[in-house]
Amino acid sequence: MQVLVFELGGNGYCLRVEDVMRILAPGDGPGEGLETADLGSLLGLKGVAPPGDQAYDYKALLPSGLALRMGAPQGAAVLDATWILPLPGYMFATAAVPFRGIVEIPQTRRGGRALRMAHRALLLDPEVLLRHMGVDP
Amino acid sequence: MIDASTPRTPGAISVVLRSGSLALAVPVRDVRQVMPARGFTSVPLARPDVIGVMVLEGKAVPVYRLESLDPQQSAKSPILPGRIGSVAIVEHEGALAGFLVDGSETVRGDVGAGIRQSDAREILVAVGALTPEPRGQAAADAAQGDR
Repeated sequence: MQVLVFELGGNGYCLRVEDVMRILAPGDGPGEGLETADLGSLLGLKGVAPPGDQAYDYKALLPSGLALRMGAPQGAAVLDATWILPLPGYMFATAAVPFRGIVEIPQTRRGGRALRMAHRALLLDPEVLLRHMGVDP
Repeated sequence: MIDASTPRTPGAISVVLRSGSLALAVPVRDVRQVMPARGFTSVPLARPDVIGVMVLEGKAVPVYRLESLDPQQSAKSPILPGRIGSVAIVEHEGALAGFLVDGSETVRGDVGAGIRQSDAREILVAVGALTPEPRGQAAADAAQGDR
């Protein structure tokens, strides 16, 4: 399973490649008639990615056509599905949990340099996230 | 929240967990380990008493404020930046939870006045990791099993 890893507020968040149509660079709009949502706002995080900060302005275009502003891209990683550790539902304040689990990101090397990636990341379930937050997925 | 003092066998060994003014004695068999408070991952949308999760032996273990177990102390007391402590991992029937503590010590026998006594089951029920068992239900189930 391949995931795309982003950093937001010091935490790692990732999406499965199959949950993403493409990544939009800073300044790229999702296209006419399509909407944008902000991951930090949906998760109730404040001040983690100020509006206009280009480094955090990468968006994941979801199959529904919604562009989810994810944060700063960290790269792609290949994970074994057995590495997804589920998070217990009782630790959440919300009934719906928008995370498939927590994953360990393998620290790979490219061209002799280690990629600077989050060591651990929360694997998002975008459908649950958007539905729970009142956004039509 | 825990509100009862669990009877303790005389001479039993307890681990006293301390955080702020709270001291909580737990049977030593219920404390899996006490480890440095490092490597949390904060989790958005978690309950306010959850500090984050740790990965321990292939499981995601929620870590709570110890104060959240005390009805007298507010779970809203802030975690001060730079606070360095330990995490005590409490275990019962495979369920695990971590608690941020300032310190811990092992005590044999009477733990002394002012120290609340509990056990892993009661603690894990308090944080929602285990469901409460009606009083006497286990004995009733056992009796039914004998028939």
